[in-house]
Amino acid sequence: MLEIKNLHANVVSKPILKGLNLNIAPGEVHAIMGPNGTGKSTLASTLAGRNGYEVTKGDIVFEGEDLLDMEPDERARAGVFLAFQYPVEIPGVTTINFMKSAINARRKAEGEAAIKASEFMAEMKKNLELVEINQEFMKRSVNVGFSGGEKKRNEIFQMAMLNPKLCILDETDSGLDIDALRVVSEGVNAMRSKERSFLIITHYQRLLDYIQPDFVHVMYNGKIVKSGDKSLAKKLEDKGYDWIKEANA
Amino acid sequence: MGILQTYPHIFRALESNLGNLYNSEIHRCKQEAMDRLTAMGMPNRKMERWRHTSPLPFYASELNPSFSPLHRKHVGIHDFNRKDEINAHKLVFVNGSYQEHLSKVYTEAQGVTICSMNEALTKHSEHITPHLKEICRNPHDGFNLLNLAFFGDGIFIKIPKDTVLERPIHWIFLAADNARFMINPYHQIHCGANSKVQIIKEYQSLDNSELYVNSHCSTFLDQGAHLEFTMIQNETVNGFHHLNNHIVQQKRDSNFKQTAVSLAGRLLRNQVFVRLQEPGANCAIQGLYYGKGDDHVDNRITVKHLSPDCESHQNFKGLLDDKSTAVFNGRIYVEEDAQRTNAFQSNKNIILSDYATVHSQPQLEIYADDVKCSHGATSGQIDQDALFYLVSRGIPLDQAKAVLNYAFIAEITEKISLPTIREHIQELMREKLNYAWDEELTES
Repeated sequence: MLEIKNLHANVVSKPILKGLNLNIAPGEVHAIMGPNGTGKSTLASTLAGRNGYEVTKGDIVFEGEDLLDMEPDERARAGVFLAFQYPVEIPGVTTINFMKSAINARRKAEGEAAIKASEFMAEMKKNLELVEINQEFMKRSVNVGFSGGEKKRNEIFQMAMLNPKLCILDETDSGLDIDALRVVSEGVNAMRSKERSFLIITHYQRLLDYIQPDFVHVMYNGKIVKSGDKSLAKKLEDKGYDWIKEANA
Repeated sequence: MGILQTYPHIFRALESNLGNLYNSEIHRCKQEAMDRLTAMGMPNRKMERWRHTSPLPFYASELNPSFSPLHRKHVGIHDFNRKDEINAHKLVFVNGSYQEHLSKVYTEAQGVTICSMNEALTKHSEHITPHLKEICRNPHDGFNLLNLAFFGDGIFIKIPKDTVLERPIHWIFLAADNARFMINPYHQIHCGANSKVQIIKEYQSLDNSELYVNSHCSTFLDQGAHLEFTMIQNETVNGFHHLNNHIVQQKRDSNFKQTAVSLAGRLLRNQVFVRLQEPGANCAIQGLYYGKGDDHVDNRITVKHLSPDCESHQNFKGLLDDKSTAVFNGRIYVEEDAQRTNAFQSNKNIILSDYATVHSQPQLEIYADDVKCSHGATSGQIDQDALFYLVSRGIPLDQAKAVLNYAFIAEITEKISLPTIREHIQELMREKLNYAWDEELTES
């Protein structure tokens, strides 16, 4: 589904990603861990196509297409979803209209008719229950006045609404209390399927107690330096990152 | 300036059209205004008040040859109904003259007067002349005097105390006949104690007319009166050049809200001057604007706190595209006795092009010590984080920009209390901003 080959990327002319390789097949859950400042979030932003993240070398192929050739909105419509580390507040734009427009943007691009109101409402209700958000939130401005946990639950809600092929979770667990962490993880687990893949970026192992990854990668200094199964996450939890740093010094 | 020499000639030539007002007190007020104007002169850009907005286009325009208050029925337009007609008193003006056959004024409670200034000058002149004299004695600048000397028609509203108007007043100002001249409407609004009134003023061009409107409105709110005044300026390419002067005097516990919606117009200058004369009076002066092309939008607000325990809010938001210019001058004056004043002011702009300009000037003059006062002015670009957030969900860039721009200025419309008017304005805004958002689905 996703093949990243020798990816180099700069942020404000500073090299951050330095030859990253990663392959994700349909249905797989990959976790990327690593110390702060090693480029984990840069990878997420580069995949989503954020301004200011400049790819200098390498390829990203998504579903057989060159992802780097696509605008951010095209990537989203093709099935890439980024759950933000810091979800943005948008005063004056209600979540319900935001989601409906996002769904219809994809339908329009695929030559389909706009979603029926009843169908949309049913989807919305189901997904709100999934992340335990009150329906009233939908009529409020996107993320405005939401608590940290509510914002992250809203990310998972949007993910469920848009039905992506590849879900990228950028430190979704940071700043979450244990209840919110459980809700968010249950949401993700409910979405796991044979077709859908996940790339979970996290600093801590605790999220992986709830979401069991198929693969765990350790990122350091702009590339993946170690890969393994979920026991690698356990080892990192016990031993910290120092042994990784020493091995790659 | 040459134009000043022509005004007295036009004035004398047309005085004879005053009909039965000839030699009346109104006539004498006009003469006095003309004399004072000759002595005072018209403003120029060297004056601080006119530094960012040029009065010159007004000097290049001819004075309306039909300046006299005599009623002029427009025979070309037989009917004026809009598809989004609201349930309101409808007062239609064409090129400045009231058109009875296009208007519809319903019967309201005893003592309510809603009529043209032309009619009021003969029937209610005792309410009008004292104010004309007052303006004549203390004009802001030559445009006030020009208005007094040459005013013809306008609107006159008088609401008795304890009266809540059942219907809002929809005041429609049309430009027609490819008109190219200046008109000077004069309006007066009296809101009796504890009365409640809503007024919507809307401008529309029916063709390529280019009207120069130098209007003056004097508004009086008695104790506990409520007035909500909404002004919609949404014109064609030429349309209107506006100098709107609104002077508002507020008694105890009265409540005034004005919203100026400026979606297009070559030259718009909205001046509001509020005097909070007695304790508990409060006002909210707000506006939104969207400038394109060479549009020039100038909001000039002065709120004078003359008494304790009053509150004022000024809130303006705008989008500036192309070579458009926005000017905001917000003045808060707090007199020594006006303790426990709350006065707030905000002007925020998003600049969409490299060639657009914003001049934002807060002016605070505070002589009392127990005052809560704030002001803020910002000009910036569209929020890139918000833009990326929308785009990352699959919304095309242009649509995402339109949505954010709309949301930015739509905040102002939230405070318009009549839902039909609020939705009408939001619809106009969406059209202007090419905003395609799925709005219909809001109820569960």
